[in-house]
Amino acid sequence: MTQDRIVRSVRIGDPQGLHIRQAAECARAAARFHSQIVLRHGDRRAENCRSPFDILQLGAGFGAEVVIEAVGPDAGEAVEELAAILARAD
Amino acid sequence: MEIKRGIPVSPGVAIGPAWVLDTEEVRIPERFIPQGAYPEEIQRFDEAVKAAAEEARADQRTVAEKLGEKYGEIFGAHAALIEDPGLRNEVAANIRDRGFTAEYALSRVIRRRAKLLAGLDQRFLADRQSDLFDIEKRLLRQLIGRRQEQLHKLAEPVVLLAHDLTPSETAQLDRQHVLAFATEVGGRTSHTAIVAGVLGIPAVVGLGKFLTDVSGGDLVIVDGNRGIVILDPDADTLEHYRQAQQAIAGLEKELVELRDLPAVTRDGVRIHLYGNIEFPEEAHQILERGAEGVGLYRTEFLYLGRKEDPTEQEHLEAYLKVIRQLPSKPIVIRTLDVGADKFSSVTDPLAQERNPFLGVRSLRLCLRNKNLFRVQLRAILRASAYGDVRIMFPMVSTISELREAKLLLNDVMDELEEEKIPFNRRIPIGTMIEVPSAALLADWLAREVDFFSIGTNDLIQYTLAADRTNENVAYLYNASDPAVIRLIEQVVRAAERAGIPVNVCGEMSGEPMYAYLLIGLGLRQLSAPPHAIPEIKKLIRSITAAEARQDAQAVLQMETAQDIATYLRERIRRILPEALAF
Repeated sequence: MTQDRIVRSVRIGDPQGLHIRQAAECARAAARFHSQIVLRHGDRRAENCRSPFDILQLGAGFGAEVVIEAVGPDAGEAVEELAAILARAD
Repeated sequence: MEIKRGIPVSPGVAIGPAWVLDTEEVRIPERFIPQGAYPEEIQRFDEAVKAAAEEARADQRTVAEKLGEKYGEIFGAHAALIEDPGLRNEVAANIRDRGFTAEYALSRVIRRRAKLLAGLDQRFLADRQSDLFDIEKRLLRQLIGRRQEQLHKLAEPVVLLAHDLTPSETAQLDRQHVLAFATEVGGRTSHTAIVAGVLGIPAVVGLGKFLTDVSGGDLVIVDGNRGIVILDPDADTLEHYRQAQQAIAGLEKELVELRDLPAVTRDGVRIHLYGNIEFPEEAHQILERGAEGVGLYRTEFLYLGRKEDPTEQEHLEAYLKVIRQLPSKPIVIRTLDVGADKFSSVTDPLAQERNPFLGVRSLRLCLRNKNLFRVQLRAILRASAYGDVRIMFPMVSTISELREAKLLLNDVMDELEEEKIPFNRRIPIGTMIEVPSAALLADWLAREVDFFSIGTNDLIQYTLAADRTNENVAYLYNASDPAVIRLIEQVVRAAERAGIPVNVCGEMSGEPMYAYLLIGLGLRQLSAPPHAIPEIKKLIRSITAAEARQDAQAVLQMETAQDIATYLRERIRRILPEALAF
């Protein structure tokens, strides 16, 4: 099985900043992939992307840069999907 | 050591570890689980997570339907947060490594995370703290809601401490696991107190704020005789109470031996001793404790906590259950005695009364809802074919009310006769005397009925205009008040003149000093909670009616409740020292 490592940065698209609905949606999406996914914002990291709490605790505001890093067989897809959620304005 | 004073509502002494039952708004005190009990505690948390997440998803569907998907998503997110594996692992680690209860561990973890979010210096995130507290509450509700079941899984029996307990919560308590309970609110005659007495669990209520001073597992003494709760007792106090417990156990044994002896005073006056019951399951206690019958069978339990009113058949079965256990013994069934707020079928706008104790309740409610009343009257009459059943109307305040109730009863009798359903046409009909107007007109009311029963709990409340559940005026609510005693005396004289029996079925009958006074006032029938019967019988067998009469005459001359209580307490200390030993 290939172990891709994909890194991509995205800017938070919602004027309210990264909120709990997005965090929950990210966690749900992350749970569907086999890859390990880590989110970073400045020096804060969400090591377990299946935990909405960890994502929330990035504390990413509107326009903040979040780095998505995925390692695993479906890393590319995972990164794309999470990026789409984070970049969206609700 | 800390001593808290409250209202004693159920006698006995218990010593044991504290178990604090929180309500939603109460701070979770630091609490520990027994060593090694963490797998069960973590499992309890996991079950709460599952149920709370399901509940949040149910809200999601409801809100989505009402307001749209986007709003429903908020609760979907709550469900995801509740199920967060990181949260679960942190809570589980707190339970496993530090021995915290699930509630306390959750509370700590949520608070830590909320603080973290607030520290992110982002005003929007700080707002989201409220979401965290919402999910915390949801989980706590699950955990606390499960606590009741948990009580049955406890390794050792506990003393239950709570802000408040509802009567139904109290009824579910089980003597095996709950040694005693103590609550911050509540009064002497609240239903919670009555249920505790019935279960025979020592209890003190109305202690005021004290839960913040106690941690789970702390040693606690509950003295249900004196209304005292001692937190973290010192060695001397503990020893004192251990001895008291033994003395009480000895007394209990002696009291059981009294069961088959007659309730006769030393000068040969026979007192008829009956028991009050709330549920059919208590009927056996009447026999075990040596009472002659049921002086008050409350029927409210048939109506409470259900969606539809009970059917005639359900009524009848509840009555027959008691009759079968006490064949040929008198059973006084009191018709429904609650406020309109307790009802499902009564959709009267009056349910929102400003002063429900002076509103449509009890007999007034029944006379306004005759169809509801007829169902019960039919069932009581039908039961009268199978035993010595008597019917009693509560809260009668005028003669017209009593006549209206009797008229309806007659109507129902005719109906049954037409249907050829057997019943006792000469069923004794009684009225409660618990409103001052009825006490004042007792001589006229006596011409309308076969017996009286004085309901002292309500009589005290209405005579002194003091809400018995309001701690700020509870000091006025006093059985030794001269106005109350004078009214009781008048009722007894009226009944004597009319030649009808009169009984007292309030809590006064179950307290030795008041039972003594009542006998002195001329009462020859008392109806007390089953647990109190042996002690009252012992009292009766220790006194002379002549002396009791003299003392009652002396009391009738006293002007204050304090003087009267002091006088009676002194008398009882002499006659039955162990009654007030603790």
